[in-house]
Amino acid sequence: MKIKKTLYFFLVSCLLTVFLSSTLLLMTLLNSRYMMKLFQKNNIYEIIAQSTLEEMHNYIYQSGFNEEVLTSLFTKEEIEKSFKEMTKSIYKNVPFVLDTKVLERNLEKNIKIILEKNNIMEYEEEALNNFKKEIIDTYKNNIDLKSFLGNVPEYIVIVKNVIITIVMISGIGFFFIYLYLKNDRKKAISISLFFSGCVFFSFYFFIKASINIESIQFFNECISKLIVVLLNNLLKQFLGIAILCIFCGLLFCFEKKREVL
Amino acid sequence: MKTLEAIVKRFAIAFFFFSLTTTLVYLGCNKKISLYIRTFNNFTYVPQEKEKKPVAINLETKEITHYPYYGEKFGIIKIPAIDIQVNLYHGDSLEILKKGAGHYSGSYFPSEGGTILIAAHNRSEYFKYLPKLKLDDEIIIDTTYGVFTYKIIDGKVMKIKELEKIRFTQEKETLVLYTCYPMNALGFTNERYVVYASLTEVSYEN
Repeated sequence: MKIKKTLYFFLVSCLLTVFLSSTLLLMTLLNSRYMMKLFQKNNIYEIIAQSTLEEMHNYIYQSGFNEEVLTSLFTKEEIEKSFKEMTKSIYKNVPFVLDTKVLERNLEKNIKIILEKNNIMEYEEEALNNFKKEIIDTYKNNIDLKSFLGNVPEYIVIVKNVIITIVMISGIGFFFIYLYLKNDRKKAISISLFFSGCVFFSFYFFIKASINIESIQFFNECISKLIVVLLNNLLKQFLGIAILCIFCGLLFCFEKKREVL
Repeated sequence: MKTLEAIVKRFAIAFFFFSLTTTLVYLGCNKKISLYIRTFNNFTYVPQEKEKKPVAINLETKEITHYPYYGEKFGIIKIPAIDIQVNLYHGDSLEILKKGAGHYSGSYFPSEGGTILIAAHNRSEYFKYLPKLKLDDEIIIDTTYGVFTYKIIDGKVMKIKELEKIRFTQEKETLVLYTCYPMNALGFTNERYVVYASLTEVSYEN
């Protein structure tokens, strides 16, 4: 009887942990609105704009142009708009094409001004086109991250559906077992909350100890920064939930004083 | 008191469940978890503490004992005929080429008896005046481990695709310098001006 009760406690603890962690993932990593708010909060768009411009600067040295060719090529707001559309398209798995028309127009304008200013009448069209292509490719590489993800958007939709199913099953399972444990409901909940708190705490500290998150370098500075911000935020959420679980578990340990008649 | 007892009891049960779960996960998925952690850590870069040790050479075997790290300056290129001195770095990324001449990391180092490939931008302070060099003009590479003097044996314009076919052999120490061509062209051309030089004199510093 005691073993059966212990098994039910264990089961309800696991179900609650699965329910909480799946809900957390659904509300954070798998939620495009949350991600966009996170990027806004961490000034990701500014970082992308700066990083893109710095990379473009590297191409000036061998091009014969000076820094004027990069004047007002794009704004932070344009990058923000494109990035938001790209993020939505990743989560909804719909096609996305980065609009570079404004950038191309501004670049052409700047090149024309420099040629006129320096009275340059003759130039190699192919060389100029190569330069323009490098600048536009740099812009695309820093913003159109979807092109690097391959089939990931497809998997995001599948994973989201799977996690919704897991949330429902674990929630329903938890509820039914909670109903079954008539006299030990408070005990079951407090044990489950303590268990979840321990799991989330250990997950947080394990990841922090195993992976040097701040030093992640993946492809370019923009993607690296995104991954670092995502992981740090996710871990913070796990830590927050762990603390909440322990606190709520403590609350459920308080028994009502029964009046002795 | 009773509440405290309840808290301790329930926490102990929860911790027992947690230990059990952790043990099961460890026994079942330890290898997979380690693999994922290792994969993640492959994408982390921790800047190594840069030792102040300069690039050094074993004078008996003439082998380099401490190679420069990527991005480290390890010498100066001096070309008296066109009066330039350019810092020489290991690596040829755009970041490095902004600072001076970049040594292609897939080629040999001076003293190794092989093909050495070095690039720089066609700016006046770097390799703009390479086409003015003539046969037998000297190129001196003053490194932290020795001074190497080369004499020009050839200079020509090549397409990028031809340059990519250069073979890095260890038959004879040959220095290959290149830069974008034409020198005053705007944009990115498909040609490079390439200078070949062979080793004539070596002086090792102690």
